[in-house]
Amino acid sequence: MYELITTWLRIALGLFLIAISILVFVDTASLPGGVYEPLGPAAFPRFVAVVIGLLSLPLLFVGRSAGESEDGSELRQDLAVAGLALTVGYIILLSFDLDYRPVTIIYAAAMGFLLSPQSNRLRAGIVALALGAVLGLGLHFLMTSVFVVDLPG
Amino acid sequence: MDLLNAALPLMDVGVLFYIALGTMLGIVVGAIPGLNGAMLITLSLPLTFYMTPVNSIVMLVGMYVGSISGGVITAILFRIPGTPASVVTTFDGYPMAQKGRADRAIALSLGASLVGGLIAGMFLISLASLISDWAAKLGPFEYFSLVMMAMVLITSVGSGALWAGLLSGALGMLAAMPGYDPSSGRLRLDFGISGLDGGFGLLPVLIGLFAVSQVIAEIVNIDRTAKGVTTRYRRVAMRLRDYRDNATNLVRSSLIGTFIGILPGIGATVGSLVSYSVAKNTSRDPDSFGKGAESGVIASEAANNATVGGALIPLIAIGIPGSVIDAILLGAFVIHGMRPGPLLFDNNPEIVHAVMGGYILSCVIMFVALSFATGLIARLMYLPRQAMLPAILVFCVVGSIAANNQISDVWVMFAFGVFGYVLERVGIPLGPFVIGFVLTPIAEESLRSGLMMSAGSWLPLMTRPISAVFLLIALLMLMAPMLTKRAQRIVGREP
Repeated sequence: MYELITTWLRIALGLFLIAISILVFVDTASLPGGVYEPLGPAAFPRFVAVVIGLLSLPLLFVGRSAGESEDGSELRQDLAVAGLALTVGYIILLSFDLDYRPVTIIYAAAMGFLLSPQSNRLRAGIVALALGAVLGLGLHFLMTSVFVVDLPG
Repeated sequence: MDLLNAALPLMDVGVLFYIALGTMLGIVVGAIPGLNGAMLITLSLPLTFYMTPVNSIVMLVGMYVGSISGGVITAILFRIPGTPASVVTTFDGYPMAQKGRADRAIALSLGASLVGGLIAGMFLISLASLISDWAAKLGPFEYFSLVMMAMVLITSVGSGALWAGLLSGALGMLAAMPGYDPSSGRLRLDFGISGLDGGFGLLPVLIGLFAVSQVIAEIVNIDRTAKGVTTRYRRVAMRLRDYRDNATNLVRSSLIGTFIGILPGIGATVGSLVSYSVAKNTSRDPDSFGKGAESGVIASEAANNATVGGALIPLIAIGIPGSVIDAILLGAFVIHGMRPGPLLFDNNPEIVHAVMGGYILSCVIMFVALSFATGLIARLMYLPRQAMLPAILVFCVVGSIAANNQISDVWVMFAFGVFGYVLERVGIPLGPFVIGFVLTPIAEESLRSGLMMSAGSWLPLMTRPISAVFLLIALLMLMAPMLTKRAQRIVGREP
């Protein structure tokens, strides 16, 4: 399963990068040439776009790379997807300028609980809540009072 | 005189505090597999906004030194390198631990790290200003060629296929281009998105690539527990006799590490690999390497610490990072409104001296801290990931917000985090991406300035000697895999 997803990721990445390189090439067509210098603002992006387009082709055709795992049985891709979804939700809530502290407490506690081992979920939940409190309240104090950084809310 | 100047910043208690803090944090992070110095330095960058330039740079240098050395404990005791730089130390350090000689392995590695760091420090103090004076004579064509050489070097000696490294570098270059063109002031590659007129911020990109992508990888691997042998050990320091008996290896490995560190774009892992190979090939007993050879541990640790000092030389003297972490350090200079290179020696000499003195002191603090706190550091292996990973993610979000107080930066961080994970998963390294991202403004500006000066002629790239040499090296490195294969075929055909 891990290798299958990796293969699909590789192909999707290759197609995405080729699309990006075409987009960059087309978008820079509207930029004027250089007035006082021969290259102008479009030359470098276009050159790099061509290089990316060409170097993305092996992604579509090359087989498994050396870094890929042989045994994916212990790998938790499902956890990673769930974690990313939680993180997107966290960022969306912060985008609405909700108070950083409760949002972070909930997020950190949820992530901690999600990543904890299956055994002794009650203990894991308590630890996750404590972690959420530290990150939500403690970090808020540190950033706003010590480093004077504005956080949402 | 330079030695005295390097010692001056150390008279300030605040500077000493930040050097010690940075080194200790670096050791802790370096010791935890899955975390690394790049992640720590990247996440610390937003915090340095509120510090003086001297304090922030010395703290980050301390983190750099500490993180490279911190990985040695788990590398020896558990065969799990805390950082990639400690991989080579596992070859002989772990077998020594298995034979009940973990204390000896740790003592040798710490002593070697100290010597490597101090020798590189001496070169940093003596060579940096000389190279800076030479770099002042470099013109725009030379700078462009140097940047191209740096990018090719890092892609050609890194792991993975050459095309993958070049693709990564090109992606980094493209990511640096949205926004206002520095030469003409024209807006480009914004695709009508208002948030892109300022381009992608350095901090969110770095945090995403080095922290978020790593967290995603750690979550995927969360059920893979560490399997290792915990051995008892006593605290044993390297004796004076050991320094004398291994002097040749120590000095040679330190020099190899220093000079590999000076080469733009190459880092500690390559330095320790090369040094280990040389030590093995020149040893009277090469078969013992890989089975617990003390010389192997000494060679790898002396070199990987020496590369840190060596890599700082091109960073402060020319403004070209000697490694990926140096590229992040370059970002730190930019954040504080400074540009490393010849002008730094004239405009901000206190920063130059702070880097030199801070680096050497950091090596000493690393040696003392690791010598006394080995047991404590080994226990960091067992920190629960379910607590560590959410904390890192929250720090990532907060760090991205701290840069410009914009939530859009958090989205940029997240996007580059996912992108960075996908790149690494399909075998495309992240190092060249960062080098490309950080150096592209210099490269483009240099080339376009040069072409303006030469009335559009590209010939000076090839006719100016220094530029030609840099381009030739880049070309040779690009062709090296093909030439090597051809040579092997020819050798194979000969009777």
